[in-house]
Amino acid sequence: MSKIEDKLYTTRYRVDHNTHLKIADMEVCRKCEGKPCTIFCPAKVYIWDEDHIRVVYEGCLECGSCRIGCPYFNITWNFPRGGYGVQHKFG
Amino acid sequence: MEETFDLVIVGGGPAGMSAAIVAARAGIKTIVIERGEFPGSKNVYGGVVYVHEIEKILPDFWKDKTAPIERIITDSRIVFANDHGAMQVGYKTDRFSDPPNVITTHRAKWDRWYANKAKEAGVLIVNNTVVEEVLRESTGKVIGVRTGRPDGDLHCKLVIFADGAQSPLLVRAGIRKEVKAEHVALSVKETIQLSEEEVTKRFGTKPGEGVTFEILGSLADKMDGVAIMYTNKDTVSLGIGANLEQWKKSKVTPYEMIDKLKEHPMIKPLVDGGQTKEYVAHWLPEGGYDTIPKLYGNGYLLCGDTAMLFNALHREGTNLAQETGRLAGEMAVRAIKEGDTSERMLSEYDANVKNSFVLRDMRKYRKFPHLLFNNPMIFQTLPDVVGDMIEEMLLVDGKSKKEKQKIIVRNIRKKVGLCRLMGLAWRAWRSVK
Amino acid sequence: MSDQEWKGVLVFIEVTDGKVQEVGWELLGEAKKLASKINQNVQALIIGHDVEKFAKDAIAYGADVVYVVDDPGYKNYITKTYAKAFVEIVNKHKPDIALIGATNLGRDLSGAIATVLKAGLTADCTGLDIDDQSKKLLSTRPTFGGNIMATIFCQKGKPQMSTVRPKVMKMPEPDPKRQGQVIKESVPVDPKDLTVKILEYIPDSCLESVEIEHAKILVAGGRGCNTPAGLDKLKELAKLIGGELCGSRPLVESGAITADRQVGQTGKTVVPRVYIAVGISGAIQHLVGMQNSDCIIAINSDPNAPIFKVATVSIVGSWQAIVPAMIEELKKRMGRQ
Repeated sequence: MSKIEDKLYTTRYRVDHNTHLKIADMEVCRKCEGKPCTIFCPAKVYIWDEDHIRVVYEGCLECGSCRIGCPYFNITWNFPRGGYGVQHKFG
Repeated sequence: MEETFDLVIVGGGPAGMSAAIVAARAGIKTIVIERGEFPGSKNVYGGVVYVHEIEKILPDFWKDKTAPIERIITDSRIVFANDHGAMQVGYKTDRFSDPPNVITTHRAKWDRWYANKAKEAGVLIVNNTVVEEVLRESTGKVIGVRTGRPDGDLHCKLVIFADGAQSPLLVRAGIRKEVKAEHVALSVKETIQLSEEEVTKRFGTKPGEGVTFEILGSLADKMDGVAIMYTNKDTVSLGIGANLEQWKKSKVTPYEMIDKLKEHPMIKPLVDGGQTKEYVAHWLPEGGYDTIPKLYGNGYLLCGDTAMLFNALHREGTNLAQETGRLAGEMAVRAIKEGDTSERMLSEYDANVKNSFVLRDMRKYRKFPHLLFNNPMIFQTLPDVVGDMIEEMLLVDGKSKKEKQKIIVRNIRKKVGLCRLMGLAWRAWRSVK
Repeated sequence: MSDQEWKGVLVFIEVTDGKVQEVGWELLGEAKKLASKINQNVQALIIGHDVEKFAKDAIAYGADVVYVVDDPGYKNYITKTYAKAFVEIVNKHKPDIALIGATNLGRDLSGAIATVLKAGLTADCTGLDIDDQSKKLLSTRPTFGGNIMATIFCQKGKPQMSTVRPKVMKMPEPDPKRQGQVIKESVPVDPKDLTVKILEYIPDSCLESVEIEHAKILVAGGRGCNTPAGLDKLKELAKLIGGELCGSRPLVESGAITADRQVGQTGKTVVPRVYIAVGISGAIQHLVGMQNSDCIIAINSDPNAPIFKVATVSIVGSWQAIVPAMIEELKKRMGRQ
């Protein structure tokens, strides 16, 4: 078994200064039960930290699941800037 | 940008690049806009490519020593697994080795090689660029795209959208509806390094030949697991996914799920000791025929995953992308040469796709996604029942065969119910006939 | 060539615009510590034109040997020419470890060198150490978002390479009386490699791109004031006193600031004259990036916020009241002058 961080370390990224993922309204997250984004995100981008969701955008694998999987559509989602984000070696 | 192009293609994957090659060969001034560092850098797939469709564009490509072919698949298996065992049905033949039928490749290497073929044909490929907006004139006709680069507007006669299963661009432009969670499967995949000899040995193949496994069942905590395992030259592609609507209710994360898969008694001996070289995630657009958007409009065409063209039953996606890309390219040539890129003219593309195996197959399997989605029994109860049945048959414990038969039928009755089972069989038949 | 033949801890001394980048001196201090653990010497490499004069400074800061590659062809940085020179020195003198400052130049150069030498390279490290048993270099760096620190070592490949960000390592005290050896190495530039000619330097007109490490005054925002109104007030304050805006990790995640303005474990380490921390709790991930600032002014409504442990001036209260009041008062006083 390996940790998700070990897995993400095998993947190549060109990390941008800007986050391409933002929580639209943190209050919505506070009221959200279950917070499914913290489970289904394959890159563990979303982490519940006491009273807010952390967004570790650097590890995003750009699958888009959070955009439509958030029950409240509370994530402002864009592709990373051209040339940034995950860059597959195998795919 | 001051230069003008006849054809702008959004996305440098198999669909977009196929369209580009066809168009450029016919003298159409073509540009492909790719958001990754190079074509393939943003693509993920299970791992098999179908030779027939590629040969329509690159005849005898598999004889080209530079083609990044991993292994030629001569052994295909379907696996029905529960969490402690698996039933395999497979077919091995040497009829698929020369000429090859199906090959494994790595998307990042394949798309890059394919893009070089496009460059040879005269296509201009611009990487590191995201298309942000669709440009329309006052009549609503699509006349180009706006990219993220400064002065990044591109005007053209026709746009082909080949930008993948999730296209927020097309949703914003009102060309496609946003995807629903139940229409996609979220999958994660690891490329696991062994060595060429080790892969050949463990999978029992000839050197250069390989095996594919399509795996269905309750692979992890009774989630609807659909997994694949494909052999590459010196690596194994191992992927597992489930419907996104399921993931929303899950207690297991995708990375935990793939780790559990690696511990499965059938999988473990094949990948144990290997080193994970890459971990990726992607969607499989599983919604089927009913989720396919309109494939054309005034000044534009859609092809590949963007058009939700994916055959869930046969796990075919790249060949549908390749074929519709080719058809879109041919349509582009005709429309641009005749000076008519109106919706009426482009409807011919839709007819061509409908008549091809692409939509014929998707229409045939129209009900299949519903079958999987509405019958959790397939993933949750059936694998155990089948497993128990086979184990009972194989177990030598002194009971007579007639006794064993009774036990099996009793088990099926108790866990599934004979009528329910027959009902499922009937629905399954209906969904694929 | 066995591993035992590779000896020495080499530090690249970057000279840009006729000035030595201080990260080079910081790394010499670190190199000394590492070298003493493996009984090896400290080496420095200076590449450029008219750079021989810096050799004695390198010795003062801790180098035992300084290799100087001085040639007009190296006046302007070109990856190929610098990489070729670096690789030639490495192949000749075989250092066990090579350290490069993670400046733009350093990042560019280190990747090129590591590729040619097939050496392992760990970028943007925040910690360096030697493994007791294997005597290999251990490089520590934060992973995505700083959830986990990764310690990396190179199984094979020489030299073991790391880049370290400026101001992460402590600046050592120079000792002008130190003795050392200066070796002039001749690595002439191949004219064919001069593929780039610098015509003009145009200052970056993009205001967003800034190097906060060079700012003397920083106004930092944290979760406590991470709203558009809060950010506006902080920007106003910064502009008024000639400072730069920066912040903790949550401001990057919300898109309020870009990552190059982030201070902390996964961001930058800064040592400004004045650091005004508004709505920052002072979690350790942030503190490590700014605790050595000369004067820290902390504003937080929570009297138990850890930031107050390092603050020079602690103000317990809400930023909504305090920051506008500060701005008004500053305007008055600056107007008076």
